[in-house]
Amino acid sequence: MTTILLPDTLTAANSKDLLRNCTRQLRSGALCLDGSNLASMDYSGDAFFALLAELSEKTGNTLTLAHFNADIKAHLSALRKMEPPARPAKGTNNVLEMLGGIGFAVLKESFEVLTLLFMSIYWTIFGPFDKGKIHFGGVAKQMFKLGSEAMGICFLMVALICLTMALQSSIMLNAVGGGSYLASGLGFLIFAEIGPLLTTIILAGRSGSAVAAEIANMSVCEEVKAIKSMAIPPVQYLVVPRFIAMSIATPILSFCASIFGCFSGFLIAYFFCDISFSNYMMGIRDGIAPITFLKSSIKALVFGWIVTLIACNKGLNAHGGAEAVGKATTSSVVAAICCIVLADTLFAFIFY
Amino acid sequence: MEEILKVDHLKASYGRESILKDISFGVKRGEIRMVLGSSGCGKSTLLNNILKFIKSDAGTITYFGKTFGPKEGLDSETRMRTGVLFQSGALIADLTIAENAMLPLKRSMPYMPKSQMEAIVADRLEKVHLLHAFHKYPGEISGGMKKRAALARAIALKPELLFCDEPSTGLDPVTARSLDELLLELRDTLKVSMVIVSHELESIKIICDRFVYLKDGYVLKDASLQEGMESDNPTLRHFFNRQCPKEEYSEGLYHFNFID
Ligand SMILES: Nc1ncnc2c1ncn2[C@@H]1O[C@H](COP(=O)(O)OP(=O)(O)OP(=O)(O)O)[C@@H](O)[C@H]1O
Ligand SMILES: [Mg+2]
Repeated sequence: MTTILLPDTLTAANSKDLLRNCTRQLRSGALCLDGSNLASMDYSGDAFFALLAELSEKTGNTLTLAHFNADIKAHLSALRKMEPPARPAKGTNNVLEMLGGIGFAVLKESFEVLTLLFMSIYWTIFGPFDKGKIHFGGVAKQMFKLGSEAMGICFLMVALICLTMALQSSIMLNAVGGGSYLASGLGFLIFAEIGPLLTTIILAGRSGSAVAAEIANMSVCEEVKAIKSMAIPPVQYLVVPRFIAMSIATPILSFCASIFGCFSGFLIAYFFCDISFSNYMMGIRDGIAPITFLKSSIKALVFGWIVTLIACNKGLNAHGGAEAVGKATTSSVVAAICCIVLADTLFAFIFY
Repeated sequence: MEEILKVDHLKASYGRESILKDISFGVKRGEIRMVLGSSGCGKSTLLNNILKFIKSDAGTITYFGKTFGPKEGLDSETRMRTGVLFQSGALIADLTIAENAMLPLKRSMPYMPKSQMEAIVADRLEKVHLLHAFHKYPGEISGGMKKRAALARAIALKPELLFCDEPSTGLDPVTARSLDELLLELRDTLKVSMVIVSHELESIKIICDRFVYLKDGYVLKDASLQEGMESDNPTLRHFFNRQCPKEEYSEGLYHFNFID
């Protein structure tokens, strides 16, 4: 029987080598641990002795603890093996069931968003007659927060993309000698497509995420419940001001962004296709029928609704802790962008 | 006496995990009814269900003689007659303390001029010793102050029924005591009924009229404070005497050979 003398303290810092040594000894034969110096140990000591006790039981080699002091003896005698509770059963592993679950969740969310839409429109129309319920002060604040503050980034992005697009098309058009058609093609494309689409995608990232995070945080911190407890419907207090603000801001933003896009396109037209400013403007005017502006505004409005309502819905449905806020934010941006692109495809078939 | 709130065979769960299995109790007018139980036994869940913030599985709640089913929400009249103090305070972050306390007034009395509302709010904030924080935002005050501000908001309308989730947790002894006095004053002068969740033995002994003790999703005891303190049920005895039962284990112990 080998005897190993334990040090005066047994901690996580010094138990590693000792444990390796002791297990090796205990595998090959009986082991005696001399604890005459051992005065204190931390929880790594518990694990140390428990492991050796289990090993001794498995191999049949005896483990003897000699000259331990009374405190440690009492402590070790009360040492218990705890079993962690069983993990709760997972929802399902069936692929079809999972797909069904996802489909159901998508349907449910679409239904919730549509409900929010109808409620928002209802309160937008009837809210003003119901004094004290809607908070119009909130609309101006939200317009500033969601619209004005996103202006710079929207204009810059749209202008840059239009610049790139104009450059690429000018190369192609010049090759076939059609450089003069740049303006009319570009104008239509910008106002009908790039303006509303890009502006709202940027808004989804910039303002939609802000709305989702803010409302999700309110849900998580019980503020939404507090609002409910004061007999104020959360939709009216939280969703409607943002809905109105975005309904006004998005078409304006999209229109202005399109104008910026046209100007950046002009730079390319002037330097690469030799088109003068007046010719460029004429070209743009020829390319766009007046109805295009209306269509483009409707598109921007609907996309703006998609961004706001998806963000609000995700926010209102958030529950749990801080991670729920993050989840609501990311998923609102992803869902909003997907829906915008989907709606854009639909509009392409409806309008043109 | 007339029962102002009645909870009848309430059942509630989170997903598959059943939290409240069968809860029934009533609250009389002008009484402070405390909900007691160990941490995590479902007291906040019970309040959320009574206030219909979440849907229950079964059971009805009767407010002021009007009965609401398990999936129904409360109507705004009932909501205006009740006040709620949340465990976390739940002040609206982008409104000042005064604006927060003014919300219920604005909602129910939109015709009231702002100066009048401010006067009412100042009075309520004074009651909870927070007048100096009138123009501050919730982010700028401490946890205990938030709780007091939330109480000021909950009593802004002088509700007939007040729900409080752990009102005095996290407050210093003096403020906690003054809060207890405030609750007693509301009960005695305005006949406000209250449902209060609390762990603070000191404050329970001062303000409690009757209590329900929740355990494992059932009502373990529904009685007056006196009866509860004299009860010989071990759980209640440990609770009211602030004792922790010593546990002896005999299974799963490791066996060591000690020699000297
Ligand atoms: N959103 C939730 N989803 C799932 N389970 C929850 C949720 N909220 C609470 N629970 C569970 O419900 C039980 C009761 O929680 P509850 O918050 O009602 O306890 P409590 O009695 O208020 O505790 P405390 O005194 O600590 O506030 C807990 O076991 C908790 O794990
Ligand atoms: Mg709680």
